[in-house]
Amino acid sequence: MKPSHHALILLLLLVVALLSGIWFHKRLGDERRDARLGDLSARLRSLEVSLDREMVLLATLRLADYDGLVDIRKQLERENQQLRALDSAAFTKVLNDALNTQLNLLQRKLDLVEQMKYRVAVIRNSLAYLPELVQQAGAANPALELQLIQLLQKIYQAQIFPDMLAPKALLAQARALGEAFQGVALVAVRRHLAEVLKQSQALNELVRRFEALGSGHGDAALQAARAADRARMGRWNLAAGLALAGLSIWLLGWLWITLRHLERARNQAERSRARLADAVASLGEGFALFDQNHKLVLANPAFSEFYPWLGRLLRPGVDRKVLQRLLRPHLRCTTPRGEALSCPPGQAPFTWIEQLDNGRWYLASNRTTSEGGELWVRTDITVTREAAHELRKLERAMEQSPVSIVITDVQGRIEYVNPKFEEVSGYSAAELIGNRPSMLKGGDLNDDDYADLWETILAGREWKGVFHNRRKDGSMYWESARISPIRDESGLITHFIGIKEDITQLKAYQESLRLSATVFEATNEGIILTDAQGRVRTVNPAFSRITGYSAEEVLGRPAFLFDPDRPSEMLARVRQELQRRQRWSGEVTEQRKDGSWYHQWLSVTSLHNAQGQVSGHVIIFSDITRHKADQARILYQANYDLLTGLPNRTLLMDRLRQAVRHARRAGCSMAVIFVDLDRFKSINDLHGHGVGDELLQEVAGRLRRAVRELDTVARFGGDEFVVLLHELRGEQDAALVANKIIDALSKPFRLGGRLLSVGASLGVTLYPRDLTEDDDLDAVCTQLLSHADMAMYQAKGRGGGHLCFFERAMEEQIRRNLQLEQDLRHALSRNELSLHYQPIVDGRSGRVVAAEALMRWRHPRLGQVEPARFIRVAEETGLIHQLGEWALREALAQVRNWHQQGMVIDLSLNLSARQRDRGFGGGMLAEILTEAGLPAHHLTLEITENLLLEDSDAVLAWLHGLKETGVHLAVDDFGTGYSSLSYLKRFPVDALKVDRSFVRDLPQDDGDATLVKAILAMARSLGLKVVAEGVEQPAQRDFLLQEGCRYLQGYFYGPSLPAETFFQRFGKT
Amino acid sequence: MAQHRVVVRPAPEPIQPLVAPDEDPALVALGRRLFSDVRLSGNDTVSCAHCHPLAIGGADRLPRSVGVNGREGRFNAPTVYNTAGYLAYFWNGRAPSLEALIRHGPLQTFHEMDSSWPAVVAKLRRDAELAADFRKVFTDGLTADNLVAALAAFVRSLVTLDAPFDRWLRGDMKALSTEALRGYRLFKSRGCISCHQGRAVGGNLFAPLGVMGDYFADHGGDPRADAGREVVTGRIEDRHLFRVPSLRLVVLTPPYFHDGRVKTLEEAVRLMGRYQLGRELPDEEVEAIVTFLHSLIGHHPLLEVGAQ
Repeated sequence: MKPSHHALILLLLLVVALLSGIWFHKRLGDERRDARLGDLSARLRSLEVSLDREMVLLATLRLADYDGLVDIRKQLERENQQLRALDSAAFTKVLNDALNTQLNLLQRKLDLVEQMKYRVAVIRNSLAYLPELVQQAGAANPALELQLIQLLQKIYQAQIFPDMLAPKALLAQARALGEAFQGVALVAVRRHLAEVLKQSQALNELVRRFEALGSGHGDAALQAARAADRARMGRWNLAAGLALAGLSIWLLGWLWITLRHLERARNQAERSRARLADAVASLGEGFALFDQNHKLVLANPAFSEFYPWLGRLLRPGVDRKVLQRLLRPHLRCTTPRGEALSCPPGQAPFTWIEQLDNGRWYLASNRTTSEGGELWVRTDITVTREAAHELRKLERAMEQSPVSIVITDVQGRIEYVNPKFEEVSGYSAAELIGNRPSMLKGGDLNDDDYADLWETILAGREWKGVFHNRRKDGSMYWESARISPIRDESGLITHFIGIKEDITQLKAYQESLRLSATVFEATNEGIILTDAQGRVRTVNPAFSRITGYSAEEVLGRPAFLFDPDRPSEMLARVRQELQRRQRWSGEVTEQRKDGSWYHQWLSVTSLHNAQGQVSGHVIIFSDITRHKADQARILYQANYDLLTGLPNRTLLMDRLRQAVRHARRAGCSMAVIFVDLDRFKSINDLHGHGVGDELLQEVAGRLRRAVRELDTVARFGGDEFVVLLHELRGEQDAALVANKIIDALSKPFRLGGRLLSVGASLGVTLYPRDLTEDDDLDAVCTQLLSHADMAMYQAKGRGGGHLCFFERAMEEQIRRNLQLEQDLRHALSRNELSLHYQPIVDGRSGRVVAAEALMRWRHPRLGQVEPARFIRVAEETGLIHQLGEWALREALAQVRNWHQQGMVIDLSLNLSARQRDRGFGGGMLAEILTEAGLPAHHLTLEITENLLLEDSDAVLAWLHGLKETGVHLAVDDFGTGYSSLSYLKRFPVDALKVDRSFVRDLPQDDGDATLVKAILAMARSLGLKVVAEGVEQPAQRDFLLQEGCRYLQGYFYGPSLPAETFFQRFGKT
Repeated sequence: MAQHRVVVRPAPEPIQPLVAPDEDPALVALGRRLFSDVRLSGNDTVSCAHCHPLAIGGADRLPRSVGVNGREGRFNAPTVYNTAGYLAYFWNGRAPSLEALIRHGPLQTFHEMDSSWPAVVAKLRRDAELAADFRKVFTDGLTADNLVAALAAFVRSLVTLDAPFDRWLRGDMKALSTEALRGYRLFKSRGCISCHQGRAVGGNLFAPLGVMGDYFADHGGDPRADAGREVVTGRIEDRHLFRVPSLRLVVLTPPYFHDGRVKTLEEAVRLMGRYQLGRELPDEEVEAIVTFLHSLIGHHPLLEVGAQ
């Protein structure tokens, strides 16, 4: 053999050794892991079993202390921590899920048990207290005692058979008792009854949820996951083992050592099984496990205690059938509902009940294990069963109770009556049996009623009703009856049982009560009945309507009139009067439950018992708040603005008149300030009226805080407010306050979750300074308001956030503007408007690349009107919309014309922010562009910096809408506003036009030079085109070009020119 | 067939004797030193023992405790004795374990110790002796986790053993006076036992304050404190739920209730009767119950008062 072969074999050996090593190591790990998992699942199952047992004890009110539950909680916490410490990556997902499911299940069960604890405490205590209370109540009202005892019986019954609990009906019954009769003990009975019913219902629901979680489901899933895991491991091992088998002969020695390791791991698994056996042994439940061959694997000591007859036979290996045969004579099996079963049940139900001949009762369940074996679990429920037995005795007692009971067959023939029945009817049992109960018929009920009765009970339902029956001696009596069917095991109706009570007396009593109750319930006056100490015994619905307190909240507490905790002289006087005269009435102010005060007209009368002692009081009162409030409200609404609570226009005029009168008399000054919000309309449109209203309220508050107490702030209408400043020393004072108002309103408002900046324009006029003639008071007031209004408009014209004092010149100015406005309206139709164009040049080539269109107005009388002036009038009046649209169409048509003539240049056009307010936007622009037939990229719209300062989503959306049409956007007069370059990043602008004021002193002025350089550098970094305006000198051009500003505009290149001149001059180049 | 043995077990009493703690003595000794160490607070003025003086019952007998710089808390400080078996910690059960209580509780709370674990660990590590002692017990020496472990072990070791009532439970019929025994019977028959049961006579469930009457309408105070467990779970049905306090040392730890509003034990018993049981307990029953409560006090080397 060549040396290379040796090497090959050696290598092969090495590989085999390595693979085998991995395989055995994995198996070792698997076995250890499985052992640990087995341990864990056994502990969890044992915890669950303990928890189930504690829950049953708890829910049946038999758990003495809760320490055990706390222990279970702490153990579960420990298991949780250990599991987290375990390497969960070593388990498959299925196993991990099963483990988590089991842990979660236990956690949920624990949480439910936590919620049961205190409810059980409450139920236990009230159940224990009730008999005593019933006795007390009965002593006071013997007529009631029987009804109370019956009610109580139903409740105790429901503790044993929770599904018999009908809390609503019982509560209604309890309440009926409480309303018919009064007394401290009865109120307490009712309260405890209500609490027991409420908590029992909650407890039953919790128990239902607990039981819905099942028992052992989590464990079963875990075992299944474990089995699947083992099977998977097994398959893997088989495949790997076969592959390795041929080669592993070489490795026997090494294998032997590893096998010893394996052996040790198996021992560990064995120990875990032993621990499981220990856990099982310590359980209170009987527990037996059989393998798939029906041989007993293990049974715990409790199991052998449970079945003493098995004795020594009960040891591993014994056949299941042998045990069953041995047990059969001692057992009787039933379903939990009591239906008989064979023992043990063939097709096993989930759980069944075993009754043993030694008197024990077990809850039993046999379950198939994942290995095909069987697991028997027995829980001792003898105590519960005995309680049920007790109950049957109780039922017998009920039969003997003084209630008539009759049992008939399905044809209605009487088979049984109890002694009470004989007593009430006057017939003996012998006379009755075989006959029908209709022999007692009094004739008041018609055949339809009987037909209904039969239909109901034959359908298997309970019938309830009242009979008017005739005794043997001919006298009539009223009976309330409940008739229900009795069924045999197969569900067939075999008999009917009727339970009847003589209610003749009750009927009469009820009749008279019903009358007074109707009045009590229906009256609009609140009524309180108290006992002698003044504690509330009952109240009527009107009481609750007026005060907001429900009857339950006040029963048993002192009525306010008799409340010792309310030391009030007034109440003391009333009580004195009451003692003296037995009655009192008058007006009283009281607090409702919600803390609001109201006025009531109250009458109180003392009641006396037969001995002449005061036995209680009747308090009757009506709410007269509304009467009082109505008057106040009418006055308020006439004078105040409902939204802001400020004086309205009416009250303002009144105050103004007073102020003028006062100023005249005292010879002092006063001011009227007109306040108009700057952006109210757009806020209202954008954010809705709700926000608008909120804003007005907030503004009102800020205005009020900005002025003195004695000054007047009124809402004049819409977003206009008027402030009257009284007793001023002069203009300075007014300016001070007006500036304070501007400051207050220019701070942002937080409304509807966002910050809104509003601002206001103020017009101020002073009295008497601004008035020439001072005659009629009303004329003075009107004039003052109109002056302030004018001044406000002047302030508005300055762009908002300003304050203007009224000046005489204003009247003239306004008059002129009004004229201008009139003329401007006609300017379009009279063709007085035209467009001029100023070239924008590429400074490097000297070529004209664009023209800015500018509007001109030749007034027939005034000649050329300053654009700044008429544009402002147009903006104020909204005419800007028509003007802007006209200019756009006109300029587009012109430029298209030029293109056709060979002068291909772009168009630049100013856009007013006011056009936005009037609905100009992307949609309209696209339409106009299409009509004009000029590609959009030739058009640049210039907007002002101030528009960007608004920085609202609406402005942004508007700009994007324009941008989408394909036009360019430029910021005009850049540098004059307050925006920074970085701020521009948010807006979709393409170009900046540097304002002429920065260019004018270039390049001499260092400040401007630096500024322009900075603008250019930052514009470059943002990728913005820059156009410099106002270029007049070559030195300016050179500087700008040198600094990289390519596009230039100004007299140096040409002024704005009429279209024809423009074309003549630049069309050829 | 084997003879079958029938075992008749008497119904167990709902209160069982306290059992001696099983804690590592080295850990307990460290915890004991920390418990009275003011360096656990932000400005070195307040230790655990400040609000939980062990000699007089493990609670400071103030309505609401006062922490660093005289800051007053929302709750009455409960005793630290016999807390090992509690269901959860704090009045509203905010902490599920003693470790959690120590980890996330008073040390960082603004009106208690107002400090932080990194600050405390840094401060204590400068103490060479303490650091060395921690290294003897823990391989990783003085860490926040180990401080918590030591303190928790110490608190778990605070169990008052061998109370007259415990002796009675174990069969010493002379351990209780007739009056105390009558008090215990009343304690059971009037329903107190439904909540105050187990080894600690309470501490193992949550219950609402005001079952049979609206306690808070009559005696409400700080709404955040009064909300009880609702603050922890966020569930409206947990409003006014509190951990039922242990009554083992109740005699030694006035004033009572979560906000320390009730000054005397007699008044506390009477209010419990009215609001939890819906009963007006007559004075002589209240007195008997209080006599019984005296018999619950056991012994601990650090507890100097009250043991009978």
